[in-house]
Amino acid sequence: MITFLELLVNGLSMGSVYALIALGFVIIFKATEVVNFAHASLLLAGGYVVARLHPFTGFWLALLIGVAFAGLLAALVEFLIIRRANVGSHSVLAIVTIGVDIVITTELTRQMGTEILSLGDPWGDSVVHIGGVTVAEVRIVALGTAAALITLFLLAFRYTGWGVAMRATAEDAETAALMGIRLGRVSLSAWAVAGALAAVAALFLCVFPTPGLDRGTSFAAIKAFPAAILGGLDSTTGALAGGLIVGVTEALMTGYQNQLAFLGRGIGDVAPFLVMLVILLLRPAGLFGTRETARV
Amino acid sequence: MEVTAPPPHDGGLAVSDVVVNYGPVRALRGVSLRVPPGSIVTVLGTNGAGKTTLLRAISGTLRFHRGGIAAGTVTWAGERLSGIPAPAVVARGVTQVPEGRRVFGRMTVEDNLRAGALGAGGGRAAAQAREQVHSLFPVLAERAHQRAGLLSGGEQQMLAIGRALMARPSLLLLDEPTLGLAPLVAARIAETIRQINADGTSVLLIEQNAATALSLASYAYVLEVGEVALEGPTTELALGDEVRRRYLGVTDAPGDGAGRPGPPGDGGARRPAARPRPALARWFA
Repeated sequence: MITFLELLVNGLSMGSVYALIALGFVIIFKATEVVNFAHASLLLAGGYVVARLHPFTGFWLALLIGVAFAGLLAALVEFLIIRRANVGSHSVLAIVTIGVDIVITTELTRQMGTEILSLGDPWGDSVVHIGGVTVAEVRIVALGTAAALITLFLLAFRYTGWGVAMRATAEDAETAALMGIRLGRVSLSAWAVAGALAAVAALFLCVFPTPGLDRGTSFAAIKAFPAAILGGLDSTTGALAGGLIVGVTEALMTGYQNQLAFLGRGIGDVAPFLVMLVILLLRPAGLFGTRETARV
Repeated sequence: MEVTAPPPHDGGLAVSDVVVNYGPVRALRGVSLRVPPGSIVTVLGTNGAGKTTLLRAISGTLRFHRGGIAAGTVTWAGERLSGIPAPAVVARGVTQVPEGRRVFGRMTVEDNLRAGALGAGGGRAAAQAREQVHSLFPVLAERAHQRAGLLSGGEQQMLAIGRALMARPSLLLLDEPTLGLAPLVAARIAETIRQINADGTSVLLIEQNAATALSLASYAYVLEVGEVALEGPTTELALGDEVRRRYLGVTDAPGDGAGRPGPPGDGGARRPAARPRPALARWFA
């Protein structure tokens, strides 16, 4: 039971980080109908800036700059590439983002080489004991931060003019333009917010118990794709649910993999994708999705 | 030869020789029309005549349909509208109510109205506009927190008009506002349009329902295959044989058309002199 609770808390914590990434993915899809495959590379870029800067500026300033950098990079991708690509189909843009991803990731891995970079976070490997359950402090921080950011975003999405503009554009871009909503600004801000959220997620993907930021971090980020897709690509609620499902599934499957030995080792890494496949078979638009994902 | 234009005026909407292409397809072939400030002007025409294209050319949404203005200009109050993006058109005081209402169905009624106010700043002006819209359509205040997709067709049309009014336009473009509505509801919408106009907003009304349109507007244009086929003050057009036959559903017994007694000629409606008169026989076939 103690093991189960520990795995559950860790799973929820990882899940909330995946939800941050998936949320960015969904925001971009809602605002521009582009499936952004470059999301993992934006995350890597944000993490890389934090890793390189923290020895000089201290952790908090480095984090701030890293988040801003990832937001700016995402906005640049939108402004220089997505906006200017005059293509008829959004699937073409999705493929363009794969190209962007390859360029950014290749450059970053070249810079990193085989190093494993520490992000210099203040939490280190300290643990907290709640009852009999032992959890790394940083996992609690991750859960809290992710929950706070997601709440903040959902409130803004619901109540601010920016949120109204985003939702109107997502529903009917032409009519939104007729209402005087500047689609370019909506799209730019969506990318910037998504990039910034990804950088925060990068921090929590690279802290204890993982060794730090390395070229493998973007693989960890890729687990957010099934999270976004199984929740429904156009649903913010879906991104949250999807993130938590993926996080908990992964933690439990990894934790109990000795009992699940017949499935082979490393089932934890595969599990999110298996869950995604099963859910897509039952609900092709995802758990909370409204549109056909075929539209992608 | 400007015999076809309404009395000269300053400002207002001026569409001058506008040609619109969707790729290789020409949808408007040199359309000119005017909406004097404070008036209601209607554009009639059958499906495919180019009515919606005309509104898109004014509101700057042709690019969403891979179209563009190839020649001619659109100006409102002396400011050029052609070539600027849709939000900039809204900022200059021209707002369109799209065909088929197109309310944001997954958003609440209240949020739909907020979306309408985004193009015109916010704050006090928006609050004032909301008050006006609520007094014009009390039902929108009652249903403020309901999802717009759950409203009836008539209520959705009211929301679409209210949403456009949130931008406090000086010119309102309406695309078939009574389409698919029960006669009683359509009559209410018509009454509202009259009231909006009385409050000082100019209106360009696109309609297939000629009877409603002619009763509201002071001047009418008839579009046919991308050209103005007929125009004139509505008091004269409404009596004209051709409009009656084509759009009011008043049909004469076959064979009666040629020798039919009645107002001589067009009943006062003027047509561009250079264009051939469309053959009436077509409409009896």
